[in-house]
Amino acid sequence: MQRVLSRLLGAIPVLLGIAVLVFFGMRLTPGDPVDIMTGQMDLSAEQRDQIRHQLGLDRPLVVQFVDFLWKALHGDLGTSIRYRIPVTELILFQAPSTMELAVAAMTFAVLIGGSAGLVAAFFQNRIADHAIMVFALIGLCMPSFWLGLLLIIFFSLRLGWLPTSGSGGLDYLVLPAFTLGLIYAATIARLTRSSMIEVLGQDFIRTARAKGLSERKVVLGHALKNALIPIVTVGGLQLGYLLGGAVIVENVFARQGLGNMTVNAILDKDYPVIQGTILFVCVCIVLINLLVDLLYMLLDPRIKEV
Amino acid sequence: MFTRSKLGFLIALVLISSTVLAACGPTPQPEVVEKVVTEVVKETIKETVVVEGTPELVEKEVTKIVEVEKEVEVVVTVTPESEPVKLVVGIGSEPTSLDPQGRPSATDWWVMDQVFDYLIRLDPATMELVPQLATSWEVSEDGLTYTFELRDDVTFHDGTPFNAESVCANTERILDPETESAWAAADLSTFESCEVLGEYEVAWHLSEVMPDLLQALASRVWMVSTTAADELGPLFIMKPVGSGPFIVEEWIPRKHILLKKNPDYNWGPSFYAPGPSQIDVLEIRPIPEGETRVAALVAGEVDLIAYVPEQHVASLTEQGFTVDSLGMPGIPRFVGLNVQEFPTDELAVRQAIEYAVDRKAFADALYHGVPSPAYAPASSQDPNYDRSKECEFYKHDPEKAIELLEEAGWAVGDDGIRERDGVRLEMALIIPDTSHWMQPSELLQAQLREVGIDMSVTEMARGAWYDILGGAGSYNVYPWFFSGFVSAGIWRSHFHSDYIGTYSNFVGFDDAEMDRLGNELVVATNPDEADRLRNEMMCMAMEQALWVPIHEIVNTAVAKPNVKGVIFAHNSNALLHSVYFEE
Repeated sequence: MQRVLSRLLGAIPVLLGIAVLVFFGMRLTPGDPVDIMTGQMDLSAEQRDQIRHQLGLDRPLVVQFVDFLWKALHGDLGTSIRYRIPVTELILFQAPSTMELAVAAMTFAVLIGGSAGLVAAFFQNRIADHAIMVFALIGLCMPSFWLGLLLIIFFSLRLGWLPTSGSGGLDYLVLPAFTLGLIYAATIARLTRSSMIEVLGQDFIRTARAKGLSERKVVLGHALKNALIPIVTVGGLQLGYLLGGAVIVENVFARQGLGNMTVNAILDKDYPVIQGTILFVCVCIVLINLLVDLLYMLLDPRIKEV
Repeated sequence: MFTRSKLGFLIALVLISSTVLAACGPTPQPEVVEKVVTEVVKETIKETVVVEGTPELVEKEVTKIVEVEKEVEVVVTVTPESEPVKLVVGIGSEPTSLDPQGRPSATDWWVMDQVFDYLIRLDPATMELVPQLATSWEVSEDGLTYTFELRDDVTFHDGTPFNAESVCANTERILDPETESAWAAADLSTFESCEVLGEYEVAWHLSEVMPDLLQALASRVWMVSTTAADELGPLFIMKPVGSGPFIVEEWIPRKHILLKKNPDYNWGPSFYAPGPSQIDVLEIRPIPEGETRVAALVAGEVDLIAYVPEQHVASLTEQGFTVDSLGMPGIPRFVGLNVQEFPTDELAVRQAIEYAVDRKAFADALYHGVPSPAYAPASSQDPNYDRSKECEFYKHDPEKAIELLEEAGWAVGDDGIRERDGVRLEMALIIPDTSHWMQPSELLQAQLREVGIDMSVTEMARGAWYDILGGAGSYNVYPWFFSGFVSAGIWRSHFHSDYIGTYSNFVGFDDAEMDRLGNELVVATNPDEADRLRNEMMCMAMEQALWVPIHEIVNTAVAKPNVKGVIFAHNSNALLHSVYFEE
């Protein structure tokens, strides 16, 4: 419990630093949100200044930052310049879809990648191993855009099994999750293989075999648990990345999600949305890191003693 | 801890339960009715009769016709209520706001045209002004007062009646700084006051003449329920209330906008089918990726899609889908040439670019021949198109381009790029990363290279691009277009010296004659005079080679073969009121 609390407290300066970076960094980049928003409209400079004043964009930067921070601490992430609705509401609309895609994609990635890596390690340097590593390499190089469209053509148009796009039930989640999952599975497969090979070469494994344990019990009962630490680390990082939103897959499959919302906000210089979304994602990543730490302790009791 | 057998049992239980639950569901149950039916039958019976004239009694078989009652079991199957007629439309991007009096974008109009009405409409077939919520209108001789007679049978979706007071409430809302209205405020910039003359008669008073006011009203000034706007506040953009043929039920961002038919709708413009829509439910789905949008149509998940990638048009036509392409009115896609930056400050160089560009190649190579090439800054759907032909001075003629450059002293260097006094003929094209202009830029670069011009292409974030256009950096060439009704004010702003370094005179043109024409245009009340002035400006712009028009922007919508009745508005959005499914 103490460890958990100290982790959470340690996240506060990290979040503060990120808030400062995002806030001031966005304002240093070229472009003005009012100019972008009003684009080709026939407005005078005075009319644009009026809009800037209404949005509070003409106040000193430090005042704007303190205002943002104070409101954020009270759960108010401001109002979107573009949409004119609270950023919190925008995030609440989009976050569930991103989270379900992230979890589903990681589930596919772990199941497919983990199993493939295990098999590759078990049959090291044989045909199965080489074949799996070739597929893993293809998966690493494959653009998600292209894979997603291929899956739509095959499963939606040719077979008619799944919808082409949209959000909703489980049906709509399968193809986008599979697209992302296959790509992430490639990394997990390679990592699982190398981690398992290392563990399988250790003395305690030789001892277990010498004691007469079945190969399955040696691999699944003993080696796997020891090999999981780096896989859990990478899995946690990938999950954090996915929570930022898989923009390309969201676009291809017309899914709700934080990714596209954030990209559009960056292009529109919609500061409140950018700040709010990044803070939200950072909080999620902090929690995921905490979860990963707890998993470490479950997987390897030696870590508790450090 | 789960053992294998327990886990297997659990999985089996889940599978069986899922199957049972999936199988269970409300299904219509047959109803048994008992009826009594009378039937006429012939019966043969034995009767005891007396033989005539004797006391003898005999039995005789007699056939009689009798009515017999019998109970019959009749089974009546309960049929479900008829399904609502649903139209599903896939569009290219998510709307940002459904408040037409805020800061809507082009995609927003797609939805707003189904939810709101205008005082006046532009008939897409004739481009003439026709009545809608206003039955007639009058402009005073001095052009400062517009009087509208209104329909007396219109209600907003929330039941609020539409009348003269609601028109004044609308203008008040548009001009209220709290609304942050941009489009409408620009179009009502000289609006002074709104006067209620009667329950269905209203007058607008202007401080200065606005010759394009009626066209602007018909293009982007919708009537909203200000009662609902006041009640909902900022949430009005998500759940707007108008008087149009469809009512917004819900908007789930990036999922859909769900609308239902307005059953009371009876005030459509003359080009609508009469009465309410035949579509009961309209679902608008944003599907950003063009390939996915086409896949959704082919898979039958949507009935109509907009913004169709050109490479699919031919195959969709072959598959029997209905393809409708309409050029967008306004200014076609062009590149502007900065007259304040070397070497595009030279007329000879600018004109050489005009001759060097093969406009047809853009349409053919990049867009599968769908959009028409453009030789003047007015699209074929624009009211100014016919007159704009007078300003088509340049056709593809690379030899003429070379001749002009050589006359100006630009000789071909060793690497094929022209030079003069040791200076290469180089220029910079800047494009925003959201403009899909990378491929056209590369084609333009290749065409200019053929005549010895070295044009670099730099893609940048939209914000940075606007900053450079505003004077933060140097550039020679930039892409631009304008879709929709081009008001006098907007046309002037592209060439007037007051707008250099701001919107939209990014060519940096500073000419007293052009300024004079623009100033006269914005106050010209006579349509012929306005046409003449606009055309003079256009021809001057083309003579000076300020713009290089390239191709029209075409909006293509594709629908299932049985979807009929789609009307394209003047802004090339689809109006869905009159859509029906052909049997």
